[in-house]
Amino acid sequence: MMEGELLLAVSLALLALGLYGLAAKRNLVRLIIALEILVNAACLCFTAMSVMAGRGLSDPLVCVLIIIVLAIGGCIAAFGLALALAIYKRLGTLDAWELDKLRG
Amino acid sequence: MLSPWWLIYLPVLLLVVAPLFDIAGHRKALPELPHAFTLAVSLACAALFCTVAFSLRGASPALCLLAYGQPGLGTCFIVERAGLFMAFTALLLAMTASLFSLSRGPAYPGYGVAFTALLVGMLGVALAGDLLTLYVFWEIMCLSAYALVAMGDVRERALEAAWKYFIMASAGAIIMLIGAAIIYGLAGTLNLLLLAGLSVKGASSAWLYMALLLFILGMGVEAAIFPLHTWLPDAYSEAPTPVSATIAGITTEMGLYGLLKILVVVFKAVASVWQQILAILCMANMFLGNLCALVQDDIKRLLAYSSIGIIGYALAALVVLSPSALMAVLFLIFSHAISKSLAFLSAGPLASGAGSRELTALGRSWSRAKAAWLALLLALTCRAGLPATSGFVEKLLLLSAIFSSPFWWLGLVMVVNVVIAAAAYFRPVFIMLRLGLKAPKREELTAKVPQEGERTGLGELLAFLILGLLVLAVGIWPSPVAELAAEGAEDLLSLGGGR
Repeated sequence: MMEGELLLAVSLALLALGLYGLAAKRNLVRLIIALEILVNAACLCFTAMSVMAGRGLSDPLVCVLIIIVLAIGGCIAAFGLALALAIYKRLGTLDAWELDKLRG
Repeated sequence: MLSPWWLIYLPVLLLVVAPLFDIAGHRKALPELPHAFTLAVSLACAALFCTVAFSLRGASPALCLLAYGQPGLGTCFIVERAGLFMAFTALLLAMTASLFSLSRGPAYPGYGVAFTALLVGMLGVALAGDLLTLYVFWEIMCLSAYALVAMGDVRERALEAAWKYFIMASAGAIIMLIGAAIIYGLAGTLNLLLLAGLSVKGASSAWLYMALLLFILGMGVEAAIFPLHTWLPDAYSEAPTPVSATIAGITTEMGLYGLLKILVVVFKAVASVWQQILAILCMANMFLGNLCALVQDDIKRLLAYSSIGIIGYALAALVVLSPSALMAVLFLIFSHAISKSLAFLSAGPLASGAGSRELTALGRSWSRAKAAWLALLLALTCRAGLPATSGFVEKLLLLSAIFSSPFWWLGLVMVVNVVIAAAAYFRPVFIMLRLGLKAPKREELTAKVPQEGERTGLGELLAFLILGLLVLAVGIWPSPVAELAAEGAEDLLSLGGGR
């Protein structure tokens, strides 16, 4: 049983880390890394839940889900990096706080 | 007999071949090819959805389960009439947006693929039957929406809007996934039908409330629920015109529909909790959206802020959670979709012709683009809620549903907001009428000969006609749409395990 709680604690720590990164970081690439940490937190949370509910580490639904979610996480990273690249080429900055032209 | 599985296969197959048409369009110098393809996709899917919807007629509730693999483990789609209603609305808007862009010339590379993906994602969200499928299609919908927003005309501003939208909505989707993980830990399945059975048994614990909170937080970003709405005005106003028309018309509402389905089906047992949360949030949404709309001089931002107000109305009806309130929500979504889409489609060419999105500039462009000017006037009066337009019926249905429930005080709040929203919309209407009907000066007349690229094209005209006639037709004779919405509400409630 301890295994499940440990996994859950790590997952919650990753969640906190990701949310902190999203709130505090200014660099666009770091923000994408924070998003990826959140994806991993979600995957680990599924594993923890599966272990805590007594289904063990090899529950087929969780395995399938994690593979799919990681693939989508890759898509998110790819899209985010493409967007960050376009922003860098157009605006010459990777600082999220300088993206403040739209107000009101 | 056509297998209902084609509802999933056909859109996904079309999405797979979409890049070929995009590449061919750019290689062979056929700029209209991607738009023609998205038009064909929406028409083909609409025809398919019609056949399946007709085969479901007469049943009550009309549920058709498309499950793959072992129940509770495999992926699953639920074809019910509320989802079909949402899917039809999405297909209608995609069709008119493609018609519009057919006459607007070449698009940014990749536009056709992203637009098809947006449509497929929305259809998937409308039909998804388990939380994993919902998440996958949700991400398809969101990722293509970010890409489409980034293709806006003023690239610097569009990129900034897309970035805000991307960071907020991606984080939201992942938070929703953590909520799904907790649901999985509680119930051992992600299948919505099995979850509905479980929540009736009353598994209320701190974990369940936690999952509820994560779902409202996560899906609330895409559905633009206060205080997670900040991406919306930027994204709506900077996206290309047909994209704003689609995203404002239906994508945000599809997010709301996803939240509605989860709340009604999975969290039915703790309804009193989320009703209280949403009652507070809906008032914030209504006041914020409508008051901000009142002071906007930029037509696209005005329309965007009023969308936040509309989300507030829909949440108010969701709090009530009676069959008539759910029917009013679906009717509101349809009516708002057609009129808001018409407003964005007509405001786009007017603004680019006038070189400004200020209300006064739009009012003066009567002599330049009469069709778009009239369409914008009709759309704005509809949103203001003038009788004989669908905007009037939508508010009537909502208010009567809310006032006949224990949450009647929400109805009072909504009446105040309907008045504010009417003021926000009559302001541009009066500005347009005052400046448009004034006889233009001679030098303006000679200067305002339409350029070749500025002339209203056939596709554009058709899109205005379809949406404009629908706005009037639904306003004068609302019963067919209202009946379809009522059937959808019945199916949604029966999914959640009885009344």
